[in-house]
Amino acid sequence: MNGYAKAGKAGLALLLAIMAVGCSTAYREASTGLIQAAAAGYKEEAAPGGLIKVTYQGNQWMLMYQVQDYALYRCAEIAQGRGSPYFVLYQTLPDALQNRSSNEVRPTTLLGIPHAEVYIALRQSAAPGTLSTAEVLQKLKPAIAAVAK
Amino acid sequence: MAAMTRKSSAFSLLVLILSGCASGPAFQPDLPNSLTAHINNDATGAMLLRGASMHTYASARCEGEQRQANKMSMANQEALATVPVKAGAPLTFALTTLNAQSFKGNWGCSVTSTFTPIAGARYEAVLQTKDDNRTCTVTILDQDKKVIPASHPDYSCSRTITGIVKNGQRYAF
Repeated sequence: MNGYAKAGKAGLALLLAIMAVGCSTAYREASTGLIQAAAAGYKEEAAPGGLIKVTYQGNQWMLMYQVQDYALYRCAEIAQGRGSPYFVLYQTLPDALQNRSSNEVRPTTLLGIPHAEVYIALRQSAAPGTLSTAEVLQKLKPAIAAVAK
Repeated sequence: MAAMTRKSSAFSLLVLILSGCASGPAFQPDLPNSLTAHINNDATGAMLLRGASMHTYASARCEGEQRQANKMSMANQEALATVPVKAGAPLTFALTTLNAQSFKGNWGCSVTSTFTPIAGARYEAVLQTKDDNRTCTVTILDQDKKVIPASHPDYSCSRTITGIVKNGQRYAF
């Protein structure tokens, strides 16, 4: 096999991989590197005031409610992973500053593709405006599992 | 004479193509337990295409999309289709316009609504666009012309060529 043929096969394999990841509507972590732009998935990063910014980037095959559910599920997963039985959800940083909590993720669109971005604060005890980590996980798990990876 | 025949054939072919693009149930406004969609499209200018589509959904979350009608050649005011409705079960549907002037621009507007039909009723859903499709609204009326309350999500369930669009606002490409 000559060099061109090998390069062609590698290119085709990469293209197929991008298509497979990019077309999926399953719950997943956002890919990094070469195929990042094509892939849907979640990401999180530290935000001011101890908050955690959670984003879920959809793709053109996903519905708004899927991104809504997936983002909230990821928030609960993060809370569970850090040993917090409760968390507070904020739509924006100004909302967090004014303690305007929310009980649902409100997705938007970026170039016609669903996208969600929220902030969470982890809590050890229940209080007005907190969401139960266990309850969110339990409620959304069937929807997450229904879409096979 | 040969030129005229060619022109006539080309026109017939165009009509056939446009007719082939139309799909969906016929307009039957007297059918009980039904919803008839009307399109009042205010788009102006010479159009390559002026059309509309109707989709229904299994839930208000836009799951289970079914295309009910798709017309690619329409007048400014025209009935699009009549679809059966199930009494007591919330019905989510989307009405979407599409106006095409090719390189000059292509645009439309889409509205998704949810309402709960009652047994035996006949409904009309009127999509009215405004300011050349900058905004659009849907009004649902029963057979007595009474306005039926409906809910409208932030984003339309209908996927346009530009993806998911805001409910009742223009999309363009």
